[in-house]
Amino acid sequence: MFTITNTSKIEPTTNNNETQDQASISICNLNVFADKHQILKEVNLVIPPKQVTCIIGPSGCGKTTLLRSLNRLHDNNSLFKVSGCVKIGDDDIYQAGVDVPALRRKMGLLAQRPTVLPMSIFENVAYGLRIGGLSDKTQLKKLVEENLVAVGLWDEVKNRLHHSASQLSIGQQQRLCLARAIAVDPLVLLGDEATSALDPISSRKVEELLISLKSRMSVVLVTHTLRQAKRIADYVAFMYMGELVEFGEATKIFTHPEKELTNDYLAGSFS
Amino acid sequence: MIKTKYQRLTKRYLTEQIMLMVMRLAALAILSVLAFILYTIAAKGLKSLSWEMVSSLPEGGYYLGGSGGIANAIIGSLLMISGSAIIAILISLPIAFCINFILKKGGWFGNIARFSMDILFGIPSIVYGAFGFLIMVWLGLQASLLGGIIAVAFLILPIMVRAIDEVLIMVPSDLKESLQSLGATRYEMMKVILKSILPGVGSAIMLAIGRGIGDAATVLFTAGYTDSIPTSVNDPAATLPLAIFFQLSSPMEEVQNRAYAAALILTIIVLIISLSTRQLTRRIK
Repeated sequence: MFTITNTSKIEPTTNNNETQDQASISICNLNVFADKHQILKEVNLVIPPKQVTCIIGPSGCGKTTLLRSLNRLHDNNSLFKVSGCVKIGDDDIYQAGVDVPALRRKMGLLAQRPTVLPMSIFENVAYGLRIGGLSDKTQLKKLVEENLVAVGLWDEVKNRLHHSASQLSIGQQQRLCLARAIAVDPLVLLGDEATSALDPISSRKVEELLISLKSRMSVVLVTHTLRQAKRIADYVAFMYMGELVEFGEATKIFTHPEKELTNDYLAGSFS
Repeated sequence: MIKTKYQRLTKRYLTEQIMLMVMRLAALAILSVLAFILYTIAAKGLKSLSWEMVSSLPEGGYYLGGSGGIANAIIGSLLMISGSAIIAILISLPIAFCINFILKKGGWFGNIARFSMDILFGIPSIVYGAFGFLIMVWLGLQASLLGGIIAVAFLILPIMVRAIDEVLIMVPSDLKESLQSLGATRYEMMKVILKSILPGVGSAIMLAIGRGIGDAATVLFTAGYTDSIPTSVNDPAATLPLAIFFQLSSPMEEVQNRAYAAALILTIIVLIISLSTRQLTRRIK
């Protein structure tokens, strides 16, 4: 089973079924307060493993707050208070003594705007592997190439691997960020409107990559683009005013939503 | 869209023109002051500036127009600011990183730390000098290079902390979160971020050095003044600001002009340190 140990070392997975278990996320009675304002209210949700789950809802409904709760990014801000539980497998990530860096390593993040590290293209992908304890140069080169190939960037950058990553176009930077995130082999990939800063072609490429990644990991994506959710989601969570209104298979949510509020949102009555 | 004559005369465009003019005048005013200072010290100091002045120690009656130079003050100032800058960097970098990366954002301790630095920033340098002097009397120490180094380090510490803090505040939270999401510990995160903000840190250090090297009040009681070059940190040390002060107090015009030459040397030193720091940080980055 997945355990959050007191070291940042990533334990190798032993078999497929176990990995699937590890990647399931159970959220129970999750409340998030920013100072005195309650952003998330009693959210209960089980995100299935190795599927693409999209969190949709109007602006300010708490989508990003929910996503950031999954890798404890609220810990950085003293104004945020979190109660309830978030379990990965059987382990509550908010219990005392959790090794937070190791947890975050298992929950890769693709931010809204591509944020390359101030180093070369090669080092951007190698960084996570290095801090994870990998120092063998041949192995590093192999893994960097594999992950750049996986995101379709290898042919574009193979001759300038040691150039600064900031010289890449925005679309290329986002794919580099994706390569960097998946290089450390996370259990879950979190995406916070990961394509909203990209042009349509780059956006489509990233979407295709996210779909292809679900064979390796769970993908949880916050999006405010319904068309995108329709294209890539296996499961959809609809949120409104900090509450989870409806969760289910994407085909069902988009064709026969149970709740009137979901129906109104999908029909464009409010946004 | 092309502006019509009518649009140009509207209140919005008029306000913009006035504001642009105010900004240009403000920039011109500050540049004029800088140019005037440089012109004054160059016009008055260049005629007294010589190799002898830079390379030799003051001889008997130097402050009454005798021969010699101010090498003691130049070397004293360089030794003092080097020591102070090293101490201040070693303390200010951890403080600034602690406020930004160890303490939680918006937490009371970080706010108190910033507020304290702001208060220390505003304390006049003579107070640092008097405080340093009191401590030295209490410890039974005489005015020395070490006393000056410590007093100047205290003077420039809050400047350095707040300047580095401002640079760190500007670091995008996305960068921090990207590093955290790869499993980076706070120390690993700080190492990457330090590399990316080196030019900013260089400017912060320069700002503090510029303030420290030109301050006379702090070193007046703590470092003392001597006509020789200190051979140990326990010896008194001359500094350029005090050399300027003593020479400018002289009624003799020739000695006063030497004060301007010393000011010119001080300005050139600050310029050299500034340019070399900028080059160095750029190269490291």
